[in-house]
Parts: sequence; C-alpha cells; structure tokens
Amino acid sequence: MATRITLPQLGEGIEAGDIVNVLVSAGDVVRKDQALAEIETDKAVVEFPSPDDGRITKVSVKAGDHVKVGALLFELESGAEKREPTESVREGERAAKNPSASVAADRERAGSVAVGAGRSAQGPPPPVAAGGTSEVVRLPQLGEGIEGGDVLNVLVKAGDAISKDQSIAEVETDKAVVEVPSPVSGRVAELLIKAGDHIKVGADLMCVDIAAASGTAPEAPMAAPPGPIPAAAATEKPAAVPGPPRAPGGPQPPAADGRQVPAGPATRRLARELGVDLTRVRGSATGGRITIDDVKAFVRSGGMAAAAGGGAGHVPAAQPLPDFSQWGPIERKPVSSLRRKIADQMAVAWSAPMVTHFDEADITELEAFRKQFAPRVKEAGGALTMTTIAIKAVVEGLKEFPQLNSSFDAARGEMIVKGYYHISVAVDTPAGLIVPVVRDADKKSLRELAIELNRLAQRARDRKVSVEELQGGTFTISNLGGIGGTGFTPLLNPPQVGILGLARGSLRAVWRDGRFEPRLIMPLSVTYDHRVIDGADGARFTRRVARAFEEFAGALLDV
Amino acid sequence: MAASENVRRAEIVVIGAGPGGYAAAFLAADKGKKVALVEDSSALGGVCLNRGCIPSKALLHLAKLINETREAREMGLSFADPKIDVATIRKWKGQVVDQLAGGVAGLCKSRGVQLVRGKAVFESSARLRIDGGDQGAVEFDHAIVATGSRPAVPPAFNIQDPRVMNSTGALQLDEIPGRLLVVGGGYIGLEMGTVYAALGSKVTVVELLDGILMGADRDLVRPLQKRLEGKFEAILLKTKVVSLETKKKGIDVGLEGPDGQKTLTFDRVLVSVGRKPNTEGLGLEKTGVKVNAKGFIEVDRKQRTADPRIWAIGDVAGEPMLAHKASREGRVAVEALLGEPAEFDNIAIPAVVFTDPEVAWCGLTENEASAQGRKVEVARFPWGASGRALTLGRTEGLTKVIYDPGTERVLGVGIVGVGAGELIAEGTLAVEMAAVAGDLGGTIHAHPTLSETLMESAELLHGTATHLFRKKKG
Repeated sequence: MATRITLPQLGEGIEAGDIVNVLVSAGDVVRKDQALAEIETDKAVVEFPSPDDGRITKVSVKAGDHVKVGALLFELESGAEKREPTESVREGERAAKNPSASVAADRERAGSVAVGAGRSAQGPPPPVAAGGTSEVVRLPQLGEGIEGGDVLNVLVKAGDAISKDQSIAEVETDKAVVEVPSPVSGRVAELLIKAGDHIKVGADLMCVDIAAASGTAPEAPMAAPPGPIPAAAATEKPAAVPGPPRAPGGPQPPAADGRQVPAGPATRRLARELGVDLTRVRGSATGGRITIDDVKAFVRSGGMAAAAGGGAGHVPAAQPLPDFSQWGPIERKPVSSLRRKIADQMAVAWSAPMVTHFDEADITELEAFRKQFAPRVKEAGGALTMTTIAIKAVVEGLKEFPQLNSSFDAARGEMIVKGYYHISVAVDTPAGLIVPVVRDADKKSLRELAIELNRLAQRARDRKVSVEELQGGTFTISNLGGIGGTGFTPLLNPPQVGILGLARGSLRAVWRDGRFEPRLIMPLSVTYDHRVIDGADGARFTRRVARAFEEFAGALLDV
Repeated sequence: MAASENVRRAEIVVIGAGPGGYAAAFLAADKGKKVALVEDSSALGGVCLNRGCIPSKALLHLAKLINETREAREMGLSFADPKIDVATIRKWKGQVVDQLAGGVAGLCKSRGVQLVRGKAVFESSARLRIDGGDQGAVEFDHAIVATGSRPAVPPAFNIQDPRVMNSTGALQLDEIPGRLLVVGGGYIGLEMGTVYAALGSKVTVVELLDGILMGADRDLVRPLQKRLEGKFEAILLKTKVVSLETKKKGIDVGLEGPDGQKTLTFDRVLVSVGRKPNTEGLGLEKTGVKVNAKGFIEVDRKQRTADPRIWAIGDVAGEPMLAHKASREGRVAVEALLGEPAEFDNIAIPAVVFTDPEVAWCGLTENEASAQGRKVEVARFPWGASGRALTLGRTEGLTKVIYDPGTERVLGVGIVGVGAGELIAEGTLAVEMAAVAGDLGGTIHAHPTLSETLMESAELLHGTATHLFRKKKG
C-alpha cells in the first residue's frame, strides 16, 4: 500500500517552501533517510529525507513548485517488491528528472498532466499496482467568510469503505457545525486529521484509496459512479475540491421580476437555515429547479463569500513572529474558530477612524429602582441588569441622534440610517465574546428586554444562538461594570458606528445643594465612527445616554 | 373580579381551538412548551369542524348519494325515490362532528395542553382575562391569536326572522324548505344550495357579479354552472337583493337584475356573502397588535404581529380564509416563535369547492396571469378522453395545467370534475416543488384513474398526450 509523503513542519513559523530540486522519480527505489528533494524556505535550503525504505510510486511536485506544510510530495510503496518499472514509467521518470523538458512535453500533449504521473498520455495506461491509487480529500469551502474550523468528530476510520457524499467529519466553524462530505468513493487509506485539530479550507483531511478496477478508462469521470472509480482515472494530481456534477455553485443573476425561485419547501427552509439567497443558486434539476444538494454545493463552493462581495476592510497580514522558544519555554495552543473570527472582526473594527468619549452618570436612584424591581423581573425569568437598562437608555439616545444608528457606505458615499433599533449586546462566554442581538428594543418593555436578554445570553453561553440572532444589530453595548474598571475604550462592532461601554459604578462624595452627598456614579464611554459622527454630536449623544440613566426612574412616570 | 383570582401561566397561549389554533397548540406542546388553549365555544375544532367544512361535507355526501342513485337509471340501475328523515340526518351529522371534536379534546389531553374555557380578552401584551367558563386570567410569554371569522351579514338582511339564515343556520337543517334563496354565488352558497337541492328544495341563487365562483377561472366554472342550472331553479347573475320582507307564507325578496325588478317569495333565505375576521372585543387595543381597515390582524411572513409577543394565524390573519392555510400558519408561527427559520413561504394554497362536480385549483390561475400581464402556456385535458371519467358517467370534467413558457415550470393547476378536491393535491405538490411538465408527464399514474388527466395535461404541452390528439404547435 502507498504511503503519502507530505511536507512536514520545517521549523517555527515556516508554512511553506519552494522545491529547488526533485532528487528521485517515480519507480525509484529509495532507502530511509535518503534525500528525496531539496526545499528552500525563507530561512534555509533543506534536504527532505525519505521516511522509509520503499519504491516511489508517484511524484507530485516539480522543481519550482511552492508547497505548503502538509502538501503531498511523493507516494512511497513501502517494502514493495522490486521490479522493473514499465516503459511508461520510464517516460514519467525522464519527465520528472527534467522539469523543463516535462513542461515542453506537456505542451505537445495538449495540456495533459505528465509530471510525476506514472502514465503516458499517449500510450494506453499501464496496469496499476494492486491496491489502486489514492486521492487526497481536502476541506472544501464551508461558507461565507469561513476559512476553517475545528474538527469535532472524524466519522470514518482508516480502512473504512466510504461512498461519495458520505459524511466523513464534523467541523465546527464559528457559525455552525458542518458535516464534510467525501467527494469520492473508496477506502480510507489514512486519516490526516483528528478531533480537536484546527484546519483551514484546503487542508488535507484524509487519503482515500480508490479501489482498483480494470484500468481502462482514460478519463476521470466528473460524477463518481456508485461503484469504485476506475484506477487510471485517479493517477493525476489530486483535485483540490472535486466539483459536483453540474457545478451549481456559480451565481446567476437574481430573478429581476420577483418571481418565485424554483425550489421545494424543504430546500427553501434549508436555505433560510444556512442564510443562502436562493436567487443566487443555480438549480441543477429539470427546469432549473434548485435541489437541497444544490444549496449545499453552493455553500461549499464559497458562493456565500462571493455573494457577500468582500465588503470587509483590508486586514493587513500578520508580521512573522520571532522564535520565542529561544528565550524560554513556550507552548503553542490552537485557538478556536470563534477566537479567529473575533480577531478578524476586531482587526476590521480597528481600521475605522474612531473616537471614544467619556462621561459619567449618577445612578443612585436608578440602582435603588433596579434593586427594588429585580426580584419581580427574576420571577418572570429575566434579570434586571444595568445592561438591560442600558438598552433602554441607548434607544432613547439613538432616537435623538439617528446618525449613531447608521452604517457608512463609503463606496457609495452614503449613510444608511436604520429605522429599527436592534441592539447588540456583548456577552462573555466560556468560548469567547459572542454578540447576540435584541431586536426591536424600542418596542419592548423593560421586563420583556430583561427576559429576552437573559435567555439570549444563556443561549450564547450554550453556543445555541442562531446565525440570525447574531445579525442585524444597529448599536452595541458592552458592560464590563460587573468586573470592574474606571473606564475603557470599546472597539466598534462594524458595520455599526457606535458602541457604549459601561464600567463599574462607585460611591463618591458629590457636591450637591451646598453639601457633599454619597452618590453612585457610573463611568461610561461611547466610541463612535468619526467618519460619520462629529465630536460634538458624539459628546451630545454620550451625555444624552448618561442623562437617560440619571433620569430613568423619573422617565418611567411618563411611559 | 374575585380577590382569589384564578391565574394560570403559560409559555404559549393559543386563543381559539380551530384547525389553526389546535395545530399550533399541539406543535408547541410537542416541542416541550407549556401551552394553554383558550376556547369560548363549548366544542373544540372551530368553525371548520362544528359549523363549516365538516358538517357541510357530511351533508354533501348525502347529496351525492341521492344524485347518483338518480343518475344510475341511465346505466340500467333504478332506485326508488329516497326517503329523507331529517332528524336522523341531523343526528348523524352531529355524531360526525362530536367524534372529531372529541378527538381534538383527547389530543389536547394526551399532549398536556391546558384547555381553558371562556372568552379571552387581552389586558396587556402579557396577560389575558378569561370571561365566563374558567373565569380568571392567563399570563403568557407569547400569544397566538387564532380567533377565526364569522359569516358577514349586511344590516339589510338582519330582519330578525329565523328563516333568514347564515351558513351556520343552514347547516342546522331545521327543515327542508320548499323554496330556498341563496344570496351570494360563492363556494358556501353553492355547496349549501347543492345540499338543499338534493334534499328536494327548489334553489335559486342570486349573485351581484356576472358569474358564480368569481375567484376561479371561467373554464373550470362552466361545467359546474351547467350542471347546477339543471339542479337549481335559477341562477340569477348581476342581480341585487333590494328588499326583504317577512310574510306569513314566506320571505318576500325584491330582486333587481338585468331584466328589471321583481319580487319572489321564498320559504328560507341563506345569506352567504362572505366572512368577517373576529378581531373585535379581543382587547387588541391593549397590545401593540395592528388591525387593518378590513379587520384583519397585520402579520409578516413569520406570522408576527406588530406586538413582539403576539402572533396571529388563520382567518384573523388574512385571506384566504381556509382551514388548511390556518393549520400551516399555526405551525409556522410556533416554529418561528421558537427561533426556527420557518416562514409562510408557500406558493400554492389549494382552493376546493365541494359542489358536484367539484372545482379545485392551486397556484397561479389564468385570471391572475392575465391580470399580471404574465405570459403562460395552458394545457387543457378534457375528461371526455379519460376512460375513468367515462366509467363514472361524468365526462364534463377538465384538468388544466398552467406552465411557464420558458422553463415549463408548473405554475398552477385547475380541475373541475368528480373528485377534483382530492386530485388537486398532486397539483399543489407540483407547484410547491417547482415541478416542470416533464416531471408530471414522466411520473407513472395508475390506470384507469382520473389522476392520469394531470399526466396527460403535461404531455399535451408537447403535443404527445396518448389519449388526445392535438396538432403540435408551429
């Protein structure tokens, strides 16, 4: 059986390298630790040794290739019987030994892939060694802006026979748990992932042996038949993401006349679940009907990302990090998909020119009110927290300063003012920051908000909030008062243009009516997008929100 | 109100135990919610079960039996004239209704749905007062309003004479009038007219517009109208009721039509001119719910009202006022309320008129297509070419399928003929699933059945129906 030889970690922070030289070719018998290739990284040129004795059955790279850690380089048949390579293998060998000749030969053969393949494009394909050939299954696109995820479960094990579209792993992205289907039928030769791994789109998941057959079919069929794929079909370089039969991923122009999208009820529901706009999905069934598979394929093919249109701001690539271990012991820990999403979002937020304005609110009366009514709200299943009250206060402010309830469309030079008040609330969860949205906050009573927020927060902590519940916010509240602090500068939650931060209230001696009185003072800060909000308005808004806290109990009389 | 008030708590309270309300309550209970179902009528099941769909279909079944025994004569089978025992008919109809209503009550119990008897009135967006029955209150997280509709009776017909009835009265079958006037040529009037005509009444229908069943395409109505013209005394179109007068011998009805004005005397008058949503007296003004000018509660595709805690389904939430629409909305409301991505996104709501022959349609009608200026192709398969129709002696039927000319997608289906109400299910599925002509034509349909007419309609589009020769286009 063939062993896959992939590019190992070459050193701290080295993710890829360039192939300088391929030192062996298909058919060569090699010994353990014999150099197979020379690879240049940005630090050094290293020789890449064979991990075992055996015979090279396949060379997947050529000089000049840029390869990433984990990429397939060679296939090695360990302990293989030593036999003379066939004529066609010799040809492949020549091609591999002389990359430039190989390229020239390629051109002559009208684009057929010859490099490293143990097969001539001109002659009939040679018989393939028993055991068949293998194909690397990689992680396809999972959805809009999703670059990878954590492996929750590997659903197959080495030696399992799998069929096309069978789920092979569950991957948790920051949006949902997605089952990854196998693009091919065959037998799992080797698992390259395990539960807990963080993998990126395009990462190798497993190596699948495509069962040997007659070896007569010269072309790889696009749609795998239910049975094994003819062996010769898979001797070419493994495809990154084998396409579905009718390539339904390409967006088509949305129906301009608002006519019904041709899709059945179950398909429409799935689309809503995944947030797919069906007008952008090409249907594969008769009459252009969109099937459930079409929707899944659309998501996998990254259609959502295309649909989103790359509106996010430019995020500069991270600088290479030094080798920290030279100064002491370190531990590298993978971070969750959620953390990566947060990191990306924060980087986008940082790119907006923003200002933070500070103020204070006297919440002496408000806190008395809150304490008085908290038990009643608790009975109803809510928590009357300062955050809940802040939602009310913010809505009051936003009504007077609608520019804070907007988004900036820089491309069109427009400000999009929203006619609704959906308040995002930052929730501290064991997994990290999650920001669910309280919809139509202006239409809900304090009690209703307290109940809803309590439930949303709990669901966020349980990681049960739906994608829908995370979308559509118009302004964000971040309350760190429960932890402490005298003030902080919250980061915007783009594309929103404002965020309120609450810090811990403290008793202070305040000069009132000719004497000092102990008053409970809460520091608050508002960060706003200076592109659309001027400093004076930012200050006015902050004061307005502070006043809403101060006069909260009194205002209730008028409600 | 008593000091020790009877206050219940529910996560979801459903007001009205009709086909929408109980579907919603049951689903919510199945999903683990604490549910209360409030109903002010003594029987569960709403209008549909007690005063609508079910009793009318029971009576229509009898009408069909009577008509069939008469028509069998031509096939060589003669029956004596039927003996009609009105009291037993009423009893039988009552048993059917009671059994179904009892079934709903049993399902409530087995699902742990708390049944609250009495009239519900909103006191706020979180509390209902219950008047009568289980007097008290219900506090809730979410409410689903499913209070249905009632027959509309214009004031002019309100002459305080029990012989002037609405559909509820007609279904009570107090007597079989010698002469019955049906005001309104909609489906309720035609169905009840069919029942009374079979039982021996001389039925006259008056309709203000120039056709009966104006929601349906004319080619579907024609076979029905032709047959009804034989069964009914008269169908008076473009005719208005101008006066009603109580007389000892009957009701004098003044009619004004194309032939001028005349006064006719009837033993009974059935007023079936439409239905009104039950949104009054519910205390909706104490909530954020918005009611439109026609009295319907405004909802979005998730059945949400303007009040974030209150949802509305069924007849109160808008046309068409059909039980099956209400049931679907009930399920959508509960799922959406629980945060699932449900929406009332249905393309086709089947409409069925249970006359003889039945008329059924779903999706786009030809009328609608022409009103929208939308180009469609229509394939009509007349039942004269159906073996099954011939064996039934009922070849007046017609099956038609309305297609999009480009994609051949099935946009609508219309059927008139015996059993059309059952046949339309396939059409509805075809429309909802975005089937194309080839899907209908390529599906094997059992022979000999009327369902083959759908398959052959699809084949007709390509000019290749087995049992009907049509020259191919162009």
